Parts: sequence; C-alpha cells; structure tokens
Amino acid sequence: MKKIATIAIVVMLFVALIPKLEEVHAGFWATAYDVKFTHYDPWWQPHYGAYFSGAYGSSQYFTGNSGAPSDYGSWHWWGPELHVLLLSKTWLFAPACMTFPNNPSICNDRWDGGRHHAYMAYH
Amino acid sequence: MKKSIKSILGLFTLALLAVFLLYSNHTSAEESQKIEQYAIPTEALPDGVRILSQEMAEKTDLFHPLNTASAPSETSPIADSQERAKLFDYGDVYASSMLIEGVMVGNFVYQYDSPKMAEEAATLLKRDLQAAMPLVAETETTFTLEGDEGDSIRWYIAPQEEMLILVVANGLEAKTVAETFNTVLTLIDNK
Repeated sequence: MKKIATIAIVVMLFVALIPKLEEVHAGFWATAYDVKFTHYDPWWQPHYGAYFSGAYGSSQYFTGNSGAPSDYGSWHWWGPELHVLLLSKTWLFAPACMTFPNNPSICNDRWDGGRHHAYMAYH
Repeated sequence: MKKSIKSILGLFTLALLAVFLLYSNHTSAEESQKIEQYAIPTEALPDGVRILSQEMAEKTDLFHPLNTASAPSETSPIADSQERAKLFDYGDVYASSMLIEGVMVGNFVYQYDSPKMAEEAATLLKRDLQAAMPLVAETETTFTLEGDEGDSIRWYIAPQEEMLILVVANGLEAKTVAETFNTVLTLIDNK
C-alpha cells in the first residue's frame, strides 16, 4: 500500500512539474508593463526604463506613433535579471514632446509600457 | 478530552493569528495615510497631468533615490558608513511619479523616527549635492544640476516634522523644467 502511495505521489509531482519546466525554458514575446524611474547614479541623477516580466530581454522594438531612433534595438538591458530596457532621456524628453498637454498626440506614447516590446528568454 | 483541548488550542492560535493580521494591516494603512499627507496633492495638479506611479515602496526598491540596494559613490559624503547609517535609518517611504508638460516629476517622502533625524538626513543630502558637479544653482532647499545627457535636474530637499520630502523634476529644456518644478513646489507650500 505504501509503495503504491509513494509511486502515485512521484507520478503526480512529475506531472505537475512538466508545465513548470516548459515555462522556465521557453522564451516569449512580451510587452512592457511600466515606464518609470529605474535607478539613480549617483543618487541625484535619475534614469528611466521600460519594465518587462521575465528575464534576459532582447530584440526590442517600439510601436508608438512617435517612432524610435534607429539604435533603439541596441539599447541596454538593466537589472539583476536584465528585465528593464533603459530608455534614453534625450529621446523620452525630446523637444517635440515638451508641448504636452497642448499637443498630447506627440511623444506621450514613449511613456506607455504597451508600446515597448521585446523577446524575453525566461519567465 | 485530549482531542478537545487540542482543538481549542488550535482555534485559539488561529484567532490570535487573525487578530494579528487585522491589526498589522490596519496599522500599515494608517502609516500609509499619514505619509501620503506630506506628498504632492495630486488632486491639485492641473488637467492633463499623467500620474505614472503612486505607491509605498520598499527600502530596497531602486526606483527611489535613498534605496539601500545602490552602492554610493566613493567620493560622496554619504559613502561614510556612519553618515550613511543615519540617512538610511528611515521607516516607510512613499514614492510617486508623474509627467507634467513633458517633464518627469518624482516625489519621495521618507519617514524617520524624529524631526531631528529628518533634519539630519536633509543636511547630509544637501551637503552631498553641494559637492556634486555640475551644480548649476542652489538655494536653501533647491538645487539645479546638469544630467549626464545634457538634461536639467532640479531637486527640492526639505524636512517637515519627522518626514524628509524630496521632489525631483527632470527634462531637457531647463526653462520648462524650472516652471514645472516651481508649480509643484507651490502646491507643497500651500498645503
């Protein structure tokens, strides 16, 4: 009886772990959930980034109407799990964007997480 | 008999746990309300302001400037371990960020145990900024600096009771940053 119970538990654990193992190793395309302060270096100098779920981001692209510079795809990933795409201040605060809220259609989308996309290597 | 004693003990433990959880939630909500009273009143902000975040933060969250996870610059006065210990001896921290006319504004409120501690923390930060380069201008509570991408950064540093209040405004055009920064400070002064 004990043997049967042990085998049943092992089988159940194995079945439960299969999807988890797949999740851990499967990469996926993701959309950022936030654009906000990332860190300060030194403490008085703020930096900004797009936050993604997952880890080890790459192949990023931007779908906002305001467009992204040609080197956007090579911008740096940051954080212990490289899940935050660092965004250039000169792009986020481009002069054309400074007319908000009089001209809200321009550049606001750079601060929308939903406009930043990337391939995340891990969940 | 033994079983019923065990059951009673079990129920008593559960009841104690429930009371503890209720009390701790209640206390943290009260703390949150208290600290938020010192923050920029978002309801007073003009139409079109975009609030990006408003939250109680952890000490280790990197998105607020006095987080305990970042290593200080070696040349900074707050690299001194005793000074650093004073500065980071706060309890709660409230952080918010918003876009106002294309300028990013951050507001951070740190709660210390006493007004004296908050004042000491403010003094330390001000001393640190006075040594920062390039420092463009300063008053008793405000500092203007140039960022590493040619951006304009303005800081407001002031203790208020046991709170340390920080406001940062950041953007590319110094004039717009200054205007937004001054508007926000008026809201704090008028509270």
